[in-house]
Amino acid sequence: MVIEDQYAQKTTKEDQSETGEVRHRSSRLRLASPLDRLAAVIVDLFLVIFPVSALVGAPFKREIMKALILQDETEFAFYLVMITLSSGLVVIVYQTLMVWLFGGTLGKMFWGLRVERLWKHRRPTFTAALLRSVFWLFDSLLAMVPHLAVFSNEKRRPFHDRVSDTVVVTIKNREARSPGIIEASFVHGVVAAFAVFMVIFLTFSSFDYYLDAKSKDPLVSSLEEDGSLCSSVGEAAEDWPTVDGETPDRLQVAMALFAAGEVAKSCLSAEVDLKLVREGEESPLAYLAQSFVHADNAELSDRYLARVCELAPDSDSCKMSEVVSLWTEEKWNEVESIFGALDKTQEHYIFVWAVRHYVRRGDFHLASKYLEKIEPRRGLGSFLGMQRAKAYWGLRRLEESRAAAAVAFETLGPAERIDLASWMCYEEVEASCQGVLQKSCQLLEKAVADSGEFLLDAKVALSYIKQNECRKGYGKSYDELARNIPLVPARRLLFAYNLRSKDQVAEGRQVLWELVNDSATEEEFREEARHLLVQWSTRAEDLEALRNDWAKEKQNQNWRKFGLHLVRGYFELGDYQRAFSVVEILGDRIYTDQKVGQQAILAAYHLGKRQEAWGLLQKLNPAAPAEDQSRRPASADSGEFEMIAQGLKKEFAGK
Amino acid sequence: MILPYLNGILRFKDCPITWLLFIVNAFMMIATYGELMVAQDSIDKAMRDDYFVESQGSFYAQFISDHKNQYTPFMNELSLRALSGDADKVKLLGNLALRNDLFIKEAPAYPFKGDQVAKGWWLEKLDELGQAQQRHPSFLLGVSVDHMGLRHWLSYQFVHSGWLHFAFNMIFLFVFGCYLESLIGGLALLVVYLGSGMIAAGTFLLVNGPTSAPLVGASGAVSGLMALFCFLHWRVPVRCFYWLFIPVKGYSGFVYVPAWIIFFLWVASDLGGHLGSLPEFGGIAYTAHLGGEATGIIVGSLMFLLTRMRRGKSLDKDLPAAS
Repeated sequence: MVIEDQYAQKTTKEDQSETGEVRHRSSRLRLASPLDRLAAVIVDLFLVIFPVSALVGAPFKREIMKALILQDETEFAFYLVMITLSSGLVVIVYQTLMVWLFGGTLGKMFWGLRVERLWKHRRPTFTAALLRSVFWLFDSLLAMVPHLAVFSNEKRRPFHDRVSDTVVVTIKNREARSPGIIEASFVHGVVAAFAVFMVIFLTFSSFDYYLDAKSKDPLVSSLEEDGSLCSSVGEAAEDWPTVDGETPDRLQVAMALFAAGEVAKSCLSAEVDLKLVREGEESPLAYLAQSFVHADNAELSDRYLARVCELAPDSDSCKMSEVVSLWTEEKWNEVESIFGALDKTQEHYIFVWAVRHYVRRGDFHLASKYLEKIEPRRGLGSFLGMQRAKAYWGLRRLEESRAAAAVAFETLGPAERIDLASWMCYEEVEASCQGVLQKSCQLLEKAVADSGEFLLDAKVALSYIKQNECRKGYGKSYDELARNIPLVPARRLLFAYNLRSKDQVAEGRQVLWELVNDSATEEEFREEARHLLVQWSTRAEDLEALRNDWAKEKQNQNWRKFGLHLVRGYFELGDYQRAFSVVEILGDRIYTDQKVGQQAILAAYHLGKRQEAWGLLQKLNPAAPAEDQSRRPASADSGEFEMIAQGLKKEFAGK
Repeated sequence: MILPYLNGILRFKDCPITWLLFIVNAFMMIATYGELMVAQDSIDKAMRDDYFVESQGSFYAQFISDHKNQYTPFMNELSLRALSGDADKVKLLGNLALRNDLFIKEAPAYPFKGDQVAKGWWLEKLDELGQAQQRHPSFLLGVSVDHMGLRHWLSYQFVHSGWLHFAFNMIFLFVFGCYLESLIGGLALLVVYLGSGMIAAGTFLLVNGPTSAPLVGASGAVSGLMALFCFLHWRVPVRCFYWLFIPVKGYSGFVYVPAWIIFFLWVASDLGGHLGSLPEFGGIAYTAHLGGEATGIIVGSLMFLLTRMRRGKSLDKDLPAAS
C-alpha cells in the first residue's frame, strides 16, 4: 500500500472551509532538518524511552535470561514478546501523549521542533498522535529504514507522518528545504538496495533452513538435542555381544570404540560423565576411561590410573591401567606379559588395545590372535579391516592382506582410507617397486591428486615420496614433488634424494644427518632419514664414518635408534665384528628391537662368541618385535636364527 | 549520552575533602594494584581450567540437589539439568559456585558421590584458589561473608576492581563532591560520603545476603552524593554535557537539565538493573547503589527539614542555581 502525499499534489489547502477558530496555514512550511529530527530521537531514547523501558521490562528481562540459560524456547519467545510489547507500549504512550498535549516529545522540544497537522498550525488530534506513534514504532522495527523518507519525501514526511497527516516543522532558524533530486535518488537507491538485500537474505536463509531440516535424521536430531552423548556409541551398544546374558555397559562399548579410534575423546568423556556425574557411581572402568580422557595432563591421568587399582586391584581394568603406565615408560616386555595374563578377559576394549599394541610393535602373530577374539560388531568394522590388512602383511600373507585392505578401503572413512593406503603402499614399495601398481598406491596417488592437503600428514608424504621413487623416470621430479609437499622435512628429504641422483651422495648424506639430529622434526622423517643414511652407506668406510659420528653424539633416544640401524647396516654388509661392537655399546637397549636382537645373536654366533650369543638369547624376549614396525617392512625370514637359537639352547640350557 | 558536569573539577583549595577522598582512593588503587593483578591472574587461571570448572560444576550441582530448599527454583533447575548431563549447565554452575558461601564452606568435608579423583584434584585447586583470594585486595578489604564487620563497611569503599571501575567512580566523586562541598561543607560531605557507603553495604547485605564474592567500590558512596545533590536542587537546572553521536557541529555541548531528571535516570538505571538481573550471577551491586541513593534522599530530607525549621524557608530558594 502506498500512502500518497496529498500535500505534494495539492500544494496549498489553506482556503479549505473550517470553523473560524482554525488557524489556516497561510505561510510555507518551515520543515525540520533531518539531523535535528535524529538528534530529537536520540534525546528521547536516552532520556525517556530506554530508562522507562528498562524499568518496565526489567522483570521480563530477568525471565528472558533464565529462559536463555535453561534453553526454554517457549518461555523465551513469550517473554521476548512481552518485553517488546512493554517497550512498544512505553514508546506509544509517551509519543502519543506528548505529541497530543504539547505538539512534540522532549527531544523535539529541545531542538525546537513541533509536530503539526498538515493543513493547520495546530497540534495533531489524539487519534492522529496515536496513529503516528504506532506507525513510528512500526517504521523503527523495520531497522529504521522507512525513516529515511525524511531525505526523499518532498515535505520530509516519512510513512508515520503521511499516515497521520502530520508534518514536523521547526520553530527555530534551522529550517530545511525540500530534498533535492540527488538526495532523494540516493535514499531511494539505499532503500531499494536494502529491500533487495533482505529478499536475497531471506530467500537464502529459508533455503538453508529447509536443506538443514531435510538432511537431519530425526534420531540424530533428538540425540543431539538431548545432550552430549554420541549416537555412535548407542548404535554400537545395540549390536554388542552380551556378557553372561547381560547387555554391555555403554562405557565398555565406548572404551572399545575409542581404543579402535572410531569415536572421539569427547564421546568417551560424555560416557564417563554419565557414569560418574549422572549416576554418581565410582567404577574402575570409568576411572580408566578418565585417564584416557585426560591423557594430556600426565599428573591427572596418573591419579586416575592409580585410583583404578585402589578401587579394584584384581580387575581387568587395573591390569589395563598398569599397561597404560608401562606404555609411557616403554617397558614393552612387561606390557606384553600383562596382555598375556589378560588372555581370558571378556573386555573387548582390551583386545582392541592389544591388537593396536602388537601391530605397532610388529608382532603380527599375537596381533592376529587378538584380532580373532574380537567379534565383528557395528562400530569396529573399519578398525578390524585395517588391522587385519596390516597383520596379514606382517605374517607374509600378502594376498590375504591385500584382500582385507581392499574390503577395508570400501568401508573406511576418507581419513582412515588414506591412512591405510599410505601404510600399505609404503610396505608394498619397500618390498618391491612393483608395489606401485597395487591398489593402495593407486588410491594414495588419486587421493593426493584430489587433495594436496593429505600431504600435510608425515606418513602420507613419506609413502608418496617412496612410491614416486619407485617410478624412476616416470614419476615426478624431486623439484616437482617438493613443490607439491608443503612439509619442510619432506622437502629436505627430497633435497637429499636429489643430491644423490646427481651423484652427490656425500652431500645427500650430510642433509640426512642434519635431519636425523633435528629434534624439531617429526619422528617419521627422522626414522626415514636414519634408515636412508645407513642404506646409502654402501661402502664400509662410509658406515665407519657414520659410526664415529654416532659415537660422539649424546646418548638419547635418537642415539639409540640410530645405533639399532647401524647394527642392521653392519649385519647386512656381513661385518659381524663391527655389528657386535655396536651391540656392546648399546647394551640392553638392543632388546627394544627384536630383529636387531636376533642379528646381535647371529653376529656373536658367527664371531664364535657362543657364550655371549647365549647370554643375549636369554635376555631376548621372543615376543619383543622390531621397533617402530608401523613404518618398517615386515621381519625377514628368521629361519637361520631359529636354527641357531635351538642349537644354543641345546648347548647351554641347564648348565 | 548526557553527563552532569556542574562546576567540573574544582581546585584543591575549593574542595579539599573531595580531593582528599580522591587521594585516598587513588593511593589504595595504586598500593593494591600489584597484588590485585597477581591474585586475579591466579583466579583467572583456575577459572580457565575446564577440568576444574567442570568438576566444580558437577559437585555444585550435587550439592544443590541435596539442599534444594536453600536454593532458588532456577538454581534447582540448573542443577537438575547439569546432573542430567548438560555440559553447558555444568560449566555454568562451575563458574557460579565460588559465589556460594554455603557450598564453598562445606565442600572440603562433604561426601560428594562420583569421581573421587576429580574431587581430590578440585579440592586441591580450590585450596590454592582460596589462598590466592586471601591475598586479593578485594577479598581482604571488601564486604563478603568472611568480612562483614563495620571495618569492612568502610574499607570496601576505597577498593576498586580495576582502573575503569576506579575512573568512573572518581569522575562522579569530583562532579558531585566538589559542588556539594562548597554547598554543605567538607565535614558534612565526608559524613554523607562515608555514611552512604556504609548504608549501601548494609543494603547490599540485607537484600542480596552475604556472598563469597566481595562488594567493592565507591559507587554506593557516590550514589549518596548524587542523590543528595539532586534532592537539594530538585527543580534547579544543572549544567550537563551531552553528545548525541552525530559528528556535526551543534549536536554536542552543554545543556541545563533539572536535577530530578538526573536523579530519575540514575535510579531508573539502578532499579532496572536490579530487577532485570539474576542475583545468582552477581555483577554490578545495584542494591548498594540504591542504598546509597536512599541515604542521599534521607540526608537531604533531614537537611531540608532542619533548614526549614531554623529559617522557615526552603533550602532550595536560598541556594544559588547550579552553573
